[in-house]
Amino acid sequence: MESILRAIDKINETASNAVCLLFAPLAVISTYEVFMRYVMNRPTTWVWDVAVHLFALIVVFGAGNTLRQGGHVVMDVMITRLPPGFRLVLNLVAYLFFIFAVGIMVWQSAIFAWRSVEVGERTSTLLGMVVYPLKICIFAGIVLLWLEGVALFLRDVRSFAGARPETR
Amino acid sequence: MDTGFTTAIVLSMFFFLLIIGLPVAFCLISTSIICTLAFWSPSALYMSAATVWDQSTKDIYLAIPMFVFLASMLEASGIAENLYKMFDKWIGRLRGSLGITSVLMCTIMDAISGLGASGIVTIGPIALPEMTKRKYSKQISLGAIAAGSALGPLIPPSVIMIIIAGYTGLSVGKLFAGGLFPGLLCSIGFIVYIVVLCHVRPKMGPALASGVTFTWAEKLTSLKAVVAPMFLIGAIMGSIYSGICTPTEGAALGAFGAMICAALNRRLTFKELYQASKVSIKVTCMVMWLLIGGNLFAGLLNALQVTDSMNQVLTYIHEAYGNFGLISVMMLIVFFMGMFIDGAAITVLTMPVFFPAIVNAGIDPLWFGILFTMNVVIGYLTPPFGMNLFYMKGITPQDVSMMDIYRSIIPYVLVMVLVLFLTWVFPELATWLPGTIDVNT
Repeated sequence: MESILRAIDKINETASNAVCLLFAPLAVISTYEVFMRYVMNRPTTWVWDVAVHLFALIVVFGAGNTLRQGGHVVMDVMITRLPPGFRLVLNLVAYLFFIFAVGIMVWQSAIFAWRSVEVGERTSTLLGMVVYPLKICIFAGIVLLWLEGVALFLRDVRSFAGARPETR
Repeated sequence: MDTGFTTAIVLSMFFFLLIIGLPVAFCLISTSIICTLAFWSPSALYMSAATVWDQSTKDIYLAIPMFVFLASMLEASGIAENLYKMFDKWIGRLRGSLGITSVLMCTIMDAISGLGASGIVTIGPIALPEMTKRKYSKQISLGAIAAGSALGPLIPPSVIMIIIAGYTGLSVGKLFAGGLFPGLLCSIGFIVYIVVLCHVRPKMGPALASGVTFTWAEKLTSLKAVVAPMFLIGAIMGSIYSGICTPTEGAALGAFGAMICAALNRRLTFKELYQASKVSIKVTCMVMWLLIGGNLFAGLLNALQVTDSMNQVLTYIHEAYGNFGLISVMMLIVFFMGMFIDGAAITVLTMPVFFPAIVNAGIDPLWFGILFTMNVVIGYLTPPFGMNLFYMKGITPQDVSMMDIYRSIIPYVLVMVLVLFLTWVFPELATWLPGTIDVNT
């Protein structure tokens, strides 16, 4: 069990640390586009499509790790004042909702990606890139996010069962 | 089903999840998906995937990761240290000079960064120890940095304004321009407060000992420090307003420029870059998933006609109490939310409901956008849960308590509220500059 939870953390961390390396290229290619368009008067055909792809990858593959690190905004006025045991129960309830809802997102994004694969959807820009690889990535990112939610939930279940106090 | 009933269920589910500590983004997503199943139609569930796609490929939002990355690179670039030394040489002899310096430096950072905490993380670690060394009162030093930094999203560029533009279709360029004067007025207000306080009670902000002097040559060479910030401001705002590029590309130019500044200061190592990227992805995902959740939620509220019924309430307020009443109610709601929750979340939650009501009432949406941003920015500072207060706590020594920070921030918040009222009474403060420019973005 522990090894599975650790593996989920590890995958999310690796995914996030890999896509975060895209920030610098994103800045560089957008600058290149401005340079080519304004100075050389020869706008590129590919920067826009590629930039949007990099952006989407950052958003979907960073989500799980952000959740793991507690990076999403939480309204914790109430819960920080409660006794730890009670807080744990509330957390379990909260993540049940999360697992159900994001689970539906996993399913829906699979359909979303599959439809794109079926018709071989392409972008409407000059480059006309195929869209489905990115849609599959979005599906994969949501799966990772869901798994991270499940991992958080299972850890809380274990602490609740009193196996051993968990620090995360 | 009765709209009132569904409204009650949807909202209570959202608040329930919020209170039990689920991150706001996922409160929005969970409520949307579950209530779509319950009250709308399972076939509408595809929205949940389509929204992730829409939001994370939306051109205007591409500016968000760029502004976030720009802010992280600024921290690594070493620009702040150089600026600090320069200001000390020029105005070190004034009473309260370090407080004034902090505000001025934050204002410069605000003009480069679109986030609310950039000033704290770049300038705080340099200015705070120095102020402690020179025996500045905590009342001045803590507030000067936290408040100066909070102006980041008000003084252009601004991530909050990008979110507003995403929801409302207002021009990013005009919103940016509208925030300039109110933002600078706040800075001036902070400086006036510091100067007055230090003249009434000189002990709170002692000047440099009179023995210390700098030659004009030293002063003039120190001016080199302004070059890098000016270059960045030029790259971002100059490129946007000259029509060379879109705000998104302006943000990218800024981020690229910050990398160059870091390289020139010999700070651009892979380690720094990686570190900055890791911080950036966390902030980017935080904002983007809020936007995804907010969009899903807004879609649900529309479909269930909850937005309409909320609008009826707002219309009623407008009919009974006029524009003043309507804006007051909205401002109070935002101000109250600001005490507890992050600015991006406030924007995502309120804009879809507020904006149509503002347009219906015939109020200038641009002006409202600026008032709204000011209010959100004040929320970064209002206890008990102003974000900047926690960032401050993170960089201060142990002997500074949360109460010290609360106490020092109040006068600065009052200054901002005053400027908010000024902008309310004299809309030209926010609308004149955007009216003079012609941008297509």
